[in-house]
Amino acid sequence: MEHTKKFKSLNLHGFDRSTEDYGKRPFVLTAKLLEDQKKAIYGCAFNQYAGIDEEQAVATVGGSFLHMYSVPIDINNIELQWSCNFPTDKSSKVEREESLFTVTWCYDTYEAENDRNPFKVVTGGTLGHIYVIDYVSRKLSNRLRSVGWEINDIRTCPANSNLIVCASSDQSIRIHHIRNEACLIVIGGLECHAGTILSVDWSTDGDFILSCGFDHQLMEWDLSVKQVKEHLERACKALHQDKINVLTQSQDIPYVSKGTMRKSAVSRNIPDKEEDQLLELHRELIPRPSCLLPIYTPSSVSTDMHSDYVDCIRFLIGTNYALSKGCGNEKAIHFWRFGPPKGEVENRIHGNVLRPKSCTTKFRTMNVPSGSAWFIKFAVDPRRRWLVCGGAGGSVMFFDLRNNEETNPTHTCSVGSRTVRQASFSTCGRFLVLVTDEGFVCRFDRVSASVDAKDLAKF
Amino acid sequence: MSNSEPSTSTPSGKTKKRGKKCETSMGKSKKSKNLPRFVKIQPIFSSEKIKETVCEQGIEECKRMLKGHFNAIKDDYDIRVKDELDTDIKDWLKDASSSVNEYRRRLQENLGEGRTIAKFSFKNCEKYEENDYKVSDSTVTWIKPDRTEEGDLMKKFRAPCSRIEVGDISPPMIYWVPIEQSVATPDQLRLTHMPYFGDGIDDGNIYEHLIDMFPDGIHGFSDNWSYVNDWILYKLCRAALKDYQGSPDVFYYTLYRLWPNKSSQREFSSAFPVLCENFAEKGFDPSSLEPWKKTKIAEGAQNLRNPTCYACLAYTCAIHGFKAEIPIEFPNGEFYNAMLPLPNNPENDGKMCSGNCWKSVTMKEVSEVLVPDSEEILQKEVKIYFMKSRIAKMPIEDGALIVNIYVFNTYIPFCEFVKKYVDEDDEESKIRSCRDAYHLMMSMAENVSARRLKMGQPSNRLSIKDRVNNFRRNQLSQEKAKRKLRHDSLRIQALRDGLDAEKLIREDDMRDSQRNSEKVRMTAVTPITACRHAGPCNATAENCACRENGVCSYMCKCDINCSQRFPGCNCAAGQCYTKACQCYRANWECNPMTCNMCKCDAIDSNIIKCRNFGMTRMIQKRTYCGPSKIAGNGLFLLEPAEKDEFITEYTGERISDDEAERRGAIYDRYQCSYIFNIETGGAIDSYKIGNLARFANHDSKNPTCYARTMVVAGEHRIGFYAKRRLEISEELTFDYSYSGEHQIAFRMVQTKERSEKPSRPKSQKLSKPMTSE
Repeated sequence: MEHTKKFKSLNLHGFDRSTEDYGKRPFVLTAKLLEDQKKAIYGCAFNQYAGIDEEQAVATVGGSFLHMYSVPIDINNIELQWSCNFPTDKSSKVEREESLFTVTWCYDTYEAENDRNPFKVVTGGTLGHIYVIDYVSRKLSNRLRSVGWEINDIRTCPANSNLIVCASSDQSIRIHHIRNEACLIVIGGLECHAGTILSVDWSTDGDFILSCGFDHQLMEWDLSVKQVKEHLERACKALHQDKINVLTQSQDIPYVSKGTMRKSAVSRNIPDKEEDQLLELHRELIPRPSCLLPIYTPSSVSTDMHSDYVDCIRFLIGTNYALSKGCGNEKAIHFWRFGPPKGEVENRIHGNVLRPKSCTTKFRTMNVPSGSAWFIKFAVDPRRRWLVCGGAGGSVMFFDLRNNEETNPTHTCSVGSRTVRQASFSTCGRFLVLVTDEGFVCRFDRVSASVDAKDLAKF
Repeated sequence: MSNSEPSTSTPSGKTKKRGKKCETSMGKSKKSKNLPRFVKIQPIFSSEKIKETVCEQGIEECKRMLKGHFNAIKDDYDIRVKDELDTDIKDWLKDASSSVNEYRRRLQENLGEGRTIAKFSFKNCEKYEENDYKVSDSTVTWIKPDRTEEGDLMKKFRAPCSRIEVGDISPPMIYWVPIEQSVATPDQLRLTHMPYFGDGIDDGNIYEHLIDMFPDGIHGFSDNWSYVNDWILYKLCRAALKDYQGSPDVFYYTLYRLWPNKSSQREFSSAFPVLCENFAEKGFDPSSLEPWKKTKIAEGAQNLRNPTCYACLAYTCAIHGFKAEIPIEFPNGEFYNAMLPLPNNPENDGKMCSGNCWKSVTMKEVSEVLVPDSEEILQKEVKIYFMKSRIAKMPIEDGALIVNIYVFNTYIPFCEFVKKYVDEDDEESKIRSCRDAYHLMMSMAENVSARRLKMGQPSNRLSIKDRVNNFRRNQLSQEKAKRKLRHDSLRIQALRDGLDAEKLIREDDMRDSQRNSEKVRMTAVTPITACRHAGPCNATAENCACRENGVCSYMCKCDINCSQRFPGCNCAAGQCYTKACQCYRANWECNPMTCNMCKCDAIDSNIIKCRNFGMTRMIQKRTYCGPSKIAGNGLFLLEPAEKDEFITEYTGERISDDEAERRGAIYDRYQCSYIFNIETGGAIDSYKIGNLARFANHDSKNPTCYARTMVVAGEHRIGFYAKRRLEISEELTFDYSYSGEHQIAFRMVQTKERSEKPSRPKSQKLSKPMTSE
């Protein structure tokens, strides 16, 4: 009761968006709730396709649950709207259970053209499946399946709202269309990461992908090549119909279980030889369309930026600068980009054209005091001011992007006693949501400089 | 290239690993702070090992020099970085007030002007129907605030929760690139990172175990002295190498000591030319600053398949010297013989074809070049010899083609021959008339003595049976020579140790007979290469590349009657699958260059084909990968297979023995392996790249196939063959024999598996094929 009244008196969101933030305390903890499943929450994501004046929705994943919350602007609360459970069939002998690690939002343009709900929530986890869930009907729209092991990060392409990229523990990066089960592009091989890939991100124009993982390396993958662009355009055009899952990953016999194959093998003997030969000839003459394009070589590789696991990498929106976070011994976030320093040109002639670039330019290093644990993802303020990173012991650290000299957090607050796994900003910049290992979902509101300091201290 | 990391499946139950990185890091941090971990200096440009005391002094001096140069370059770098921060990045940060949601902006661009983005609201959510879905409640606990706006206490908040099917669960699998042939990859002397072996494991302890095998170190166990990138490194090397007078190995090692996370010493030593190519001005020569690289002599070519010194192949290498290995290029002899008509025939005087007819050549002119005897003069034609090598080097304009054609058309009258094959209007050719052609033949004639003629001719080709017998006799004599050498060494050993020589010899013979039931076993000890040398092939020929193996293949340039040359088999079609076939017995695949009767080059699907050519023709059984009852994924057949029939080849990265040892040490910690050893050295690792054969599981009780190393076109390859008749959908398993640490690791796993209760389901593991010898 008192919290609600105090929140109203603060009037945090009644000011112009261009007002500066309150320097000493730019964000204030306004709401906190505990998910009763008693499991760690690993991922959270605001709907990046919601308008500034529309309802802000945030999805959280942890264990086998996906929770959907709305963040009202006039009440300091996080309202649970609905949730989904992904239980494993206990009759199966497989001991693996689904545990979701990451979540993102997509906008299905085909559904929008047909006046159906286009907003989709995409999540993935331990089993390597990617679930596309319709937020209106709360049912499974599609299940994408091509990853061999855990999915550690899913990001939506800013240039194409139907495409997602996912980082996997099977040392590959896959680009999916949310309407197709098989992936369109697979990135892997001898030149790819030698360990688990923990994070990926798209550039704003969709031409590059950055990746990082266990092997201390940062890699940039070029999707602006003509061959790749044409492949994606062809695949998106084929999927922009009234059918889903029309493209397969291989022209050979697909992955099937043993029982099914035995039945198929038996049924092959039922028709006579001529029909069998005709069927085989037909299948050879008209192969099913294959949509898999492998990419084996990165365009840039950095082995000297980090000296331990790299668990989060993000592009600065609209630029080619990047932020990457190291953990373990190296508890720091680096601000850098690929390429030589300003004014220098790299000559790519003769044999060097075939070699990935390796020159980087680092601008800043920000220390994360309690950032030893891995799988902690930071968030960048859409208003281009703050960088928020969680840490062990429930600490939340804010870094000022406009102060280049400061290497320590501008200020730190605490939301619990366990690791803060992920932070997510709403696209309007007003709200910040954090999730922790204890199952807490915490809401922070941006504080304007014109807010009364006395009222803020009482909150 | 990166080192590969095998994966383990997630343990059953809860996933807790992501919160315990602290323990690992704390242990790692503790150890690395106490003692920085550097590898020892490697002698790359120095032939002698440098003493550590002298090395440390050189390193300290070099460090001071490098740090002095580095500070100046870093200041320049900081100025550039500050400039970029103050202009580009500051502009981006200042743009915050007018920031636009890039996702919505680009989505609007894609939709076009006519359409708008759908409005997002929770009011659009459909209500749950009672019988439509299995819906339960999901609750959250309000902590702050704990009351509603009206003041009511709200501890638990409920919302509907729908159940979504997970679908089929597949065993975990690492991404691998499908290939059809093995790819040779270089050694990876530096581990890119410490692999993740699970939470709670101290990286420092594993470092002590692994560092001995990686001479270039492991990334991440020491800190860089400061930030460095390619541009700074280039500037630093240009400034430092200008005045450096010490040892080059000390210089590169000092770079490694300052920036161990940038590169290793070996990588630093080869980085400067690449950096100069990227950043230097045009015309700059990197070797002017690295004079020690000029004096480094390139290593000689190992064999024909891996040439590193191409000059050696031309026998004119100035570094490795001249080697007189003249090949016998022409198996049918070095000379052509032909009949050339003689002029001065009164009967033909009136039949000249033109003013330039060959008949206008006088007999005196012919006698100056040729020496016809009296009998040839009476017959009005002379026998001449052409040297094949001379014709081969002759350009066409000089008439090489005409000579070649004439060799096989000497029965045609010379005028008709010239009219048919010589173009009088060809301005580029020097041979344009009948007389020119006759002069060409006279000039090409060689003065060959009878002895040289005999020397240039090959001996008569022996029959297949004789060649087989000679080959077997040769192999038997080699085996006897080896046994004699072994017995002599045993006698020397007995004499030195005071043991009974005859007893030792008897034990050795018994052990040898148990190991090898064959009288002669063709075991290759080195990769098969082709020999090209003068003289016969035997164990004492120094220039023979096949001396160590004792077998010449069809690629060798030795005579076809060479007793060391593998003669191939003489089986009927379709019979090459028993010990009666010499190719099958020797683990060689049939080859059309050596085998004549077994039809191994037949492509007609109706006739009986050779059964010992599966890998040569890449004809494999169709297989697929599916969940296995043994472990993880398994390999299953799509076609039936007869006994001893070729199923598939095992392909992957072709690595060296040392690399196999390094990767094996890492794979052992995961209790899985994809390394398959080859007898002649090296191994095949199908972890990152391979074909479906990598999914074959181990089964020591009832394996369905066995692995065999075959010589395919002179190359050693691993193939899987059926142990018995296999039906469709049968799983392909095979038994492998581990050695050393791999055996111990696998036994531990096996014991662990056996100790589990049968009622409890076994934990999922990746398929664990093999290391085989």
